[in-house]
Amino acid sequence: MIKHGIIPLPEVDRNELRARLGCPIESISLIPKCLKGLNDCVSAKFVSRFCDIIRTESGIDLGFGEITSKDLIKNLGECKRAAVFAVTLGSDVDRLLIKLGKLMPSEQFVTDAIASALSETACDEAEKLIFDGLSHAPRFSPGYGDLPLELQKPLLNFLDAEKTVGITLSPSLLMTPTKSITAIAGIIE
Amino acid sequence: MKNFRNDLKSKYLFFDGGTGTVLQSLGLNPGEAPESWSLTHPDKITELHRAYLSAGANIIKANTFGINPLKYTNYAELISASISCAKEALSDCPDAYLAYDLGPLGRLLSPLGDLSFEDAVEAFSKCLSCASDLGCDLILIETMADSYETKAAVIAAKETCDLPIVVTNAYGSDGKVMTGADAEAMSALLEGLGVDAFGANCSFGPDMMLPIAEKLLSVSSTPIVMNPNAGLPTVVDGKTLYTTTPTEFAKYIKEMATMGVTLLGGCCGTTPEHIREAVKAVNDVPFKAPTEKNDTVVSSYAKAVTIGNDPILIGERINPTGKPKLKAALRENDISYLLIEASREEEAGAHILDVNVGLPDINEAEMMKKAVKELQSVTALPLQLDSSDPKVLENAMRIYNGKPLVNSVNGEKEKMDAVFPLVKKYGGTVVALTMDESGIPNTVEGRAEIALKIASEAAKYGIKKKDIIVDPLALSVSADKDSALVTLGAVKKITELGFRTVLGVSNISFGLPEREKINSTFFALALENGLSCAIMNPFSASMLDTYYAFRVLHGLDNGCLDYISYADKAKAERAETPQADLTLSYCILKGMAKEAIEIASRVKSDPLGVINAEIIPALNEIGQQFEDKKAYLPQLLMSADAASGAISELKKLMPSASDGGKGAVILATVKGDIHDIGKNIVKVLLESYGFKVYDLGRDVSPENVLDAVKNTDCKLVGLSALMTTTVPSMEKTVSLLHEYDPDIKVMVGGAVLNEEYARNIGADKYSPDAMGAVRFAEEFYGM
Repeated sequence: MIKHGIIPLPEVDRNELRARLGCPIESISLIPKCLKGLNDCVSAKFVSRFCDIIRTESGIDLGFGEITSKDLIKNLGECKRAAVFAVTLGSDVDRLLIKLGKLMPSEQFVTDAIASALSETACDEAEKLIFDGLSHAPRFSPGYGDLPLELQKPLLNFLDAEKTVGITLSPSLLMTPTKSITAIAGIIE
Repeated sequence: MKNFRNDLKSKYLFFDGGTGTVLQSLGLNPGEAPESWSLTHPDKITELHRAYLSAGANIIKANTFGINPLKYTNYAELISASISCAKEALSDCPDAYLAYDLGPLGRLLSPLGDLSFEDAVEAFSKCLSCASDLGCDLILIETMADSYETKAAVIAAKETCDLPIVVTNAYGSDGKVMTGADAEAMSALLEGLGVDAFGANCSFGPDMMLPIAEKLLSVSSTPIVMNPNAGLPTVVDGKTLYTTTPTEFAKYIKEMATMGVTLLGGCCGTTPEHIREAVKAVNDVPFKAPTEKNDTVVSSYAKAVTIGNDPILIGERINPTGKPKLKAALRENDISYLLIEASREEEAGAHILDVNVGLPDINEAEMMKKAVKELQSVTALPLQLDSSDPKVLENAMRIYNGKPLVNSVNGEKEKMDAVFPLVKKYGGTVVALTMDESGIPNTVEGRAEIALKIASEAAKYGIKKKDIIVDPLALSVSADKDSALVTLGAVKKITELGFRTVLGVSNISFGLPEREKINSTFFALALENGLSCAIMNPFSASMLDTYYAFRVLHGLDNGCLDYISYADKAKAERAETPQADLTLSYCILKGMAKEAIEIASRVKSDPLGVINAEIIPALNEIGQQFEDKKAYLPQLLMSADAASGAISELKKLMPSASDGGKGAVILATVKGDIHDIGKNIVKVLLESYGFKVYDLGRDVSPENVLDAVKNTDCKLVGLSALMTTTVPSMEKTVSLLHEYDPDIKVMVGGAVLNEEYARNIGADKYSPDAMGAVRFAEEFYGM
């Protein structure tokens, strides 16, 4: 079944942010201002769907076509079921980034880094809501390893993501809102 | 003979319910498109329509929701099959209506996505021309989560046929559609476009839709539609079920009818049984036609602004008259100047922004389109589209994301003939100047008469009085001592006639010294006579003083809260004394933009000397620190922001010809890619080093980059791409440029590129970071 809902405003993971900015957080005086501006715009949502992992001749099928990615198969290990999900911070974040890009590029850069870090935390929070105590493997996204980006299309269709959380895909396979993540995670039983 | 538009005004009409969810119970696989069944299982589709008709639905939706030319090459065949199914079912129910069901395209429109507004209109038009040829009775535009896409669909419908148009949007639990518009903003947009009915569908269950219904009913004079889901989905025994039972659903539908909703039906999870119960429940609720609302409203992509008793400030800064800096910016195609002005006006408290880009030597229509597109991506305020040329107005009104204020029409027949059809087609509230073929009457009565004449001509187009704001014209009091008195009298008289009014307040002081003194007093007098809005300078303290004080004295500012917060802010700004020991170079080194601009604004002479002595050395130092990995990218950017801010202050002292003396660079993010951060970083750094940057934006086609090269004669181009999927489009751009002129140098950058990859796609230079781009530009220009 498709489950969707709102994710409470996530906290920024400082290590993740440090990695995204490429420098110590303390050295950037803009962060509090950018964080405030961003928090006013974030409206994080998720959509998820559980599925059986069906082993096929050359790979697996989760319900939206055969996947032959060795890395994903390795990641799913012995799992018999998985959750497919998508998380987005919403389109107001994109509006903010567009605006800052035109007016204050330094703030755009910092805000973008915070938003990217925040979308990872939003995914962590979404996993708590999705798995609800079930133990699960780490999430794996299209674009990781040999899992092709082309998978975004059937995956988002499978989740009815346009209708449920407002994620659409451009012909160049870019998700909008841009601060969106799709992922697959196996359930460990 | 059935007539949808008449029925709409006299009785409840019921849409059918869910399609996809019912088909799934008949064997449609999850992920399989419901529209495909029109070809493979036409009997099942017809059967579904019949079930809804026998449950009491008056309107059935053709199975066309997911069909469009962006998804299907055989869209026409699918549409025709879907409509055949519906017609087959309707053959037994000749009084029921067939709605062409138009859903979202599945791509987000620019600026958030990469689909252009005109491409969206074209895709919708292709579907809708089939709809009218095949004999649909109305068009239902539904589940739209973006106000801009909604507008594109409505315009396509108006341009392809005369069928009635019904629109329903998908609202989130925050009461807004996904791209930001609330119910009031959607209502302003859709009533402006003149649709026959509108409302909400999908999203949540009927309980969650009650507040949306209530809001829409309170602001709209148009019939309201509600097609909710049957609650949220849950799983029982492995099957997906929607939680709201037909009886419960009917209870909510009855409540909506009692509130005044007159078109009702269902969306996901609802079944013929839900509709049957709903029809039954509404049976004994007396029909209530919508009441006429008299508010004057304009809107942006996000919000509506009501022009009523509380005065509205229209910022006048984006109008080149008397502003040499803006003139220069427009001539140089420098949109960022406009955007910064707009953002400052918003910050200063303007409610609406006037946009006028008319200069004799530029293409006003093109510039207006560009300015509106860019402005509505940085400001949430509604715009006043201002031009004397109706062609320019049309360009702007078409692509405007909301219901604009249109400036202006007047009593001349020719003008009214040109402007009113535009307002009718695209929606808008129009400013009406009290002048005509015989000029500006110099009496109160004469101006009031023209206002009435304009309103009666507008009525012929169905444009209501509430959508006309009369400008009784402020004329220089230094040329005619009674001019202010006539204008003030006209404001009073025209207000008594039931119109809203607007004045370009500052015109009154033309030719006099210390104009603000006259302006602010005239503003106070005009407000006292009933003025609804003022086109004014929101940076003028004395004008804002008048505005805030007037609201207190007229009982419009509850607890004087707005005034107090205004006064506190003004006081704090006065108290802020610049730190005397800060130097410009220190501020730039530390990325203190505000302080740097402050210091630069106090420079009185030799701006170039200051740039060379203070700014360039500071930038070189931070640039060096960055290259030595002693400073980080955000710090470099903050320094660049500070330098750019200081330089634009200093430029005010320079003749405009001396801009960008170091050479120019064209920058673009390639077609298909909307990640523009890297490009923006390079831009700000190049600018702070004194290069002129032609920023083409993001998602730029190879042809547009080449056009820019041809138009500017600039032979240095920087391209960025962030995704592996968009590098091919970078390669195409590089080869197109080199084919045109092998001397063009292209530098590329972006997360997925490296030295080798860049060489493979034919680029002249790979730059790993922004400083690299600056160094390459310096090398190119032999510095």
